[in-house]
Amino acid sequence: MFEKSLWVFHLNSGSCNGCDIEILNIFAPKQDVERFGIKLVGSPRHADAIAFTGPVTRECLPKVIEAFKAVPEPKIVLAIGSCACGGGIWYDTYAVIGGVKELYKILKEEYNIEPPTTIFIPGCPPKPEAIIYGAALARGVVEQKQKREIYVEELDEKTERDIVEILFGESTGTRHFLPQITVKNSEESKNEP
Amino acid sequence: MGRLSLISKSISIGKVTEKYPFAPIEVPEDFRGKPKIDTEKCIGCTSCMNACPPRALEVYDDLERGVRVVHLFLGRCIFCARCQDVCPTGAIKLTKEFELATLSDEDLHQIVELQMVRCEECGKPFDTFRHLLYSVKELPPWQREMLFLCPECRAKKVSELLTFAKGGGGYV
Repeated sequence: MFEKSLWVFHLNSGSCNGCDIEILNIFAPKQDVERFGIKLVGSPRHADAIAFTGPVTRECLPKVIEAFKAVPEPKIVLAIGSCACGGGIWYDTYAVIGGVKELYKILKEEYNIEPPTTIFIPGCPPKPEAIIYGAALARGVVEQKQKREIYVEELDEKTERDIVEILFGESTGTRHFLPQITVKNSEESKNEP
Repeated sequence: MGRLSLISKSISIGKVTEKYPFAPIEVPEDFRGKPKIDTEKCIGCTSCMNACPPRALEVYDDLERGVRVVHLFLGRCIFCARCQDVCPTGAIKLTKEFELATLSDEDLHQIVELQMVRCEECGKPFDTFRHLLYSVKELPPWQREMLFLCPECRAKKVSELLTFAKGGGGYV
């Protein structure tokens, strides 16, 4: 997508600072991402990508929308952390919009802005290497590992019958040793005067 | 002389930068990464759903198809490992996988669908086969005959039995 250097604007929308510290970590000598040309910039007008953290609190929603509008097209959004990906632990509280997906809905309805390419990086907070992996995915250096998994249990009629037999067959092998209480049949008790 | 000593120190330490995306790294032993549901062990008991703080794990019944759906959305998971602590069969475990970045949030879901038992009287699905097999060992023998009844029908039957029970006994 982006073949040349990716300039990143760090946009905090009410995050707890965990993800922000991990973003600062990747610019430190141990995981030095400036070797890929990734650089933090101070203004959204200079940026190619947004490092988005936080679940978008109501108070900062207008500022977030202004910053989104200021970044020139084409742009990439790196949604870093569980809060940005899906709302995190605050996904249904009253003071929070709930992640970039909900923000895109508001942008589409109110300002008619198409949602940009987004890379979801889950984690609470994500490891610095996980953020580097997300940036490398944006550059097309690595392949995506995570895939949607669906498992459907399949039962034939025969196995169903087997399970029913097992359920009744195990009735003798319980650890309870209380005597069984017999109850009179309801029809018999009806016939009694 | 201060700068020169700094150069000699940096030479003695050498390179500290990782070669990460081009070379794999090792994670710590107790690292909490992506949770994964073992589809063969899961019984659909909903205890993980009750323990999950952000409701990343949701369990709901699809009554039309007769399946119980265990739905894990990684985009909301906070990797607290409470589901691993609480799972009675050890079906859910946190792996050391951390490379979870995706281009679409559809890829962050894991869905397990388990077949449910239908009630003998009203035909409504009420529990999974695996959960019945697991919990049958805890049941006293005199309740086995009501094993394939849904909770509502069971309550009705018990009340009927209590109404017609006469002489001795006392409880059913």
